Order: sequence, then C-alpha cells, then structure tokens
Amino acid sequence: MSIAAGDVSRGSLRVARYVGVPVGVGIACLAMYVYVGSQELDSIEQRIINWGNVIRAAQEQISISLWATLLTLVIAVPIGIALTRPWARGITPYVIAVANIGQGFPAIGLLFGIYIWLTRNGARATIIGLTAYAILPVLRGTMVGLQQVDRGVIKSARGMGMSKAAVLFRVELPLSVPILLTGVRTALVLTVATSVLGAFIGAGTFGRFITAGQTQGRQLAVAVGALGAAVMAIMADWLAGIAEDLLRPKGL
Amino acid sequence: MHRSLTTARWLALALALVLALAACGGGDDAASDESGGTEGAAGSSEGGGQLLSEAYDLSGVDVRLGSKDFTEQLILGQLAKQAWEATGASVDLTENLPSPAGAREALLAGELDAAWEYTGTAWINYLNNDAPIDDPMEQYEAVAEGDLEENDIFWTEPAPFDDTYGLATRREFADENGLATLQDVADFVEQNPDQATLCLDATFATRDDGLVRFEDNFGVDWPDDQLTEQEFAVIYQSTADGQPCNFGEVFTTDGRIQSLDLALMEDNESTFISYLSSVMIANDFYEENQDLAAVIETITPPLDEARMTELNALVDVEGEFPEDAAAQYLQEEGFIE
Repeated sequence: MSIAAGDVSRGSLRVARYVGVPVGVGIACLAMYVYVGSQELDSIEQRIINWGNVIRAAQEQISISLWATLLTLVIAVPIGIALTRPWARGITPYVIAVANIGQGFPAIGLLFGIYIWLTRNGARATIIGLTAYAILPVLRGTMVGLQQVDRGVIKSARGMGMSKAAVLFRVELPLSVPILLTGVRTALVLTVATSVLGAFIGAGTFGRFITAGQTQGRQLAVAVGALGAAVMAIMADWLAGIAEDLLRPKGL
Repeated sequence: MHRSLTTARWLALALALVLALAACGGGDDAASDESGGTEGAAGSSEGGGQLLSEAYDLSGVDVRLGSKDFTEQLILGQLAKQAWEATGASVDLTENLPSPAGAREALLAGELDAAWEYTGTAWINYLNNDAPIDDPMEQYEAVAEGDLEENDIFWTEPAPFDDTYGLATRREFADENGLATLQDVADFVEQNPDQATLCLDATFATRDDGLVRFEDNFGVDWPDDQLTEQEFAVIYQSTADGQPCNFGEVFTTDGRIQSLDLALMEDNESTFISYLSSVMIANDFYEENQDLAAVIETITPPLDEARMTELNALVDVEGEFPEDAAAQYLQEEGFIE
C-alpha cells in the first residue's frame, strides 16, 4: 500500500502539534515556577502567588469556560441548524443581528450589567456573559458549515429516499462538522481567554492575579496571572484541535 | 428634495454641536451656577477662611496633579486643582489613576509633579514596613521623613480626616445578630461561618494593612470560600442587598454607608490603621514653589470625617460632579468666591 507523501507530512505535522504544544506549555510553566521560586516574595505577593490560588483559579476558569461553552453549543447549534432550513430564510437576518449584539457589547460592561441586574453570583454572571459573547461564532460556524454542503449530495440522499431528518443528521451535519468544530474551537478559546474578566465580579479565575497584582504594582503576580490565562487558552485550543481531528468523519 | 436634505444636514450639525457643548461644558457651567451660599465679599467671607487669591500668588506655576479612581480622590484632586488655580497657578489634573499605586508610580516616573496619597498606604506599601505606627500623626511624620529621605518626595501636612478600612453590614442583619463592633463580627465568623460571607476587593484581601489586620487582631481566620473578591465600587450595593455577601469591606468616609443604611462596625481597637491624606509633591518642585503646600494646608483644616463624608455623599448619593462638590466646599469655607 502506498502512502502519499502528503499524508506523511500531514501526519508528522499533527504529531508535532499534539506533542509540541503541551511540551512548550510545560516548559513555560516550569520556567515560571523556577523563577518565582528564586524570588523573595513579599507578604502581598505571597498572598497572591501560591499553589492554592493557582489551582483554584484554574478550576474556576475551567468550570466557567466549560459551562459557557456547553450553553453556547446548546443554544447556538440548534438555532444555526434552524436558520439554514428553507422556512427560516425570512428571520435569519434578525437572529444574526441579535447574536451580533452579544458580541458588540464590551465584555466587561456586559458582565457588570448582568451582575447587577440578573444574578449576584459572580460565576453565573460570567457564564451568561461569556455565552452571549460566544454565540455568534458558533452560530455562524454552524450555518456556514451547513450551507457549504454540496447541494448535489443532499439531492442524491433525498433521491435515495432518506427523510429530511435523516438527511440532516446523517449527511448534512457530518459534512458540516469540520467548519462547525472550527467555530466551536474559536468560541472555546474566546471563552477561556475572556473568562479572566470574571475577577471583577467575584468569579476569581486568573484574572484575580492580574487585578490584585496590577493595582498594587506587583508585576510578578500579573505575569503569573497572564501566563496562567494564556496556558488555559492554549491548552483549550489544543484539546479542541484533538477533538476536531477525532470527530472529523473518516473519508473527508 | 435637495433643499430639505440641506436643512436636515444643518439641523443634524446644530444638534451635534449642542450635544457636544452640553457634554463638555456641563461640569464647568454647573460649578459656576452652584453657589455654596457664601457671598464672599472681597477680603472676608462667612466661612472664616481667607481668600486664596489674596493670600497667595502662584501665577506662572504649572502643576501636573494626579488623583486616584474613587470618589474621595476625585474630590480631593478637584479641591487642590481649584485651590491652586484660584492663586493663579495652571493645573493639569489626571484623574482616575488606578489605586492604590497608580498616582504614586506616575509621580515617581516624573509624569506628575503632585498627587494625593494616604499615610497608611505609603507606610505599608511604598516604604515597605510591616507594622503600622499607632498614633496617626506619628505615622504621618515617619512617612514624611522617610519618603523625603529615600525618594525625594515632600508630603504636605495632612487633612484631619482619617479614611480607613471598615467592615459593614446591612442594618437589619446587624440588628438581628447584635453586631456593633469588629469584635462582634469576629465572634460571628467563628460561630456562624456559613453565614459569614464577605465582599472585598483584591487589594484589601492581599495588603498587609487589609483583612489580615482583622484576622491577626482577633485571632480568627476568615474562611477562604466565604470571600468574594470583586470591584470595590460594587461592594456597597452587594452588602446592602445581602447578596452575595452579608459583610462588606468599606471606606469609613464613604457616603454610601449612610445612604444605603449600612451599619459600620465600630473599630475600637485600632484594628485598621490610620490613613491621613496629604499631597505628595516632588521635592525639587516643592522647593521652587513652597506656597503649593501652604495652599493645601490652608484649605484642609475644616475637612474632618464628617465633612469628607458629606462631600463624598454629594457625589455618590446626590449625583453631583466632584468638581461641584469641591467648589461648594471651597466657597462655603470662604477660600474662593
């Protein structure tokens, strides 16, 4: 069996990505760990930079991001599917406009607004705000993914006697998965990165390192927070990339 | 068709100009309308203070002044600006510098000539001491000496008011649980940890002169998961609503304590340290223009806790602009007309 040269290079590129990213992130974290260890931390820095806070921040950030992504998928994907159906042609621009509003608000204003008017639970308010933020990319990803499915393939499926629902689930969605997943990946990284704003309303995350450090001039704390937030976003992107590769239907 | 388009365009332009003027000029116009009630005949005034324009002459002096990002600082910044301008100086005020260290850093970097600061904040955070000095004036002296020696920064004599940290809770909660002092709060935290929720900001949580002072003084460890760190400005409303916290970190001269009917817990053990406010001036600049300090020291004596809280409330509760509250004070005290 002959293996095309393209397959080999694509394969090795993939391996490089699978291995390279965590290794790179690990090196960066190790470097920061060694550096912080070598510094004499004053009492304020000790209260901000410690393992307990790092683990708590990571947990909060992961939890908020997962919930927000889940909510986004649950809301945006069905709506995206619905908007690509023929009967929805009229309302599509309005729905897109509403989704645009979520992205148009400056994130921090949105979070404060939700915190004051909807819920005083910082984590929940952040999740709601991030969901509003991420709906647009996932919605668009779903729609574009479905719209780019070859009409000919759909017609032949219908011609074979498949019902509309069957066509949707067994032909359209699988074929739209690559683009849909790209949209989800974008939303996930956006969500993880923006979740740091939750620190302003009591949701913690690595934003806490950044605000506490920046207002008191402790740049090391800011650096640790920034690295933590970046690591979270990069690892989320990495995991999403693996998921993309795994979920891509064979033969595409 | 063409004619009505042009008319519409002129109307739109006129409307935009009106809005722009209203937005830019609003503060200044209000200041001149808002008379504090003093007639201020030349040379004398009801407030008993001396007219700054007659006592000092700082014409030709250009000062770059800074103030931090909460109401009291905005008012103080405006007070200094208006007072100096009354003597002929020209003042470039940068407001909303991030607290606690934003104004200080700009001063040290040479971007500002003067900035308001608190003695306690400087003692613990800039001069890197671990323990405060109990007597407020002694602490001020130590700060003034230390900063002049180490950093070439001159501190004016402080205003009388002490704006320190406090813990507050909503009135009903205080009454229900018999809470009046910080000791009561400490006992409550030990006996009812699940109800001891506290809203605080990141700086109070981590500063040596913050929550740790309370914990050390009363030997109580406030459980980490009962702390909600959030933006300082949101704390008052959160505390008043009891959501997400029953207790809140406050500044003792904030006008919202009264307006939201919060019960400020009494600190009779000097748990939290003293924060008198002064203007830091780059020493070289001060040496050339020593009247800058004299002006500040002239206008601050009437500014005690009650007065400062009143001014803060004018802004936070009644919605006045800081510059108007400052102008009102200066007029009422007879420093400007």
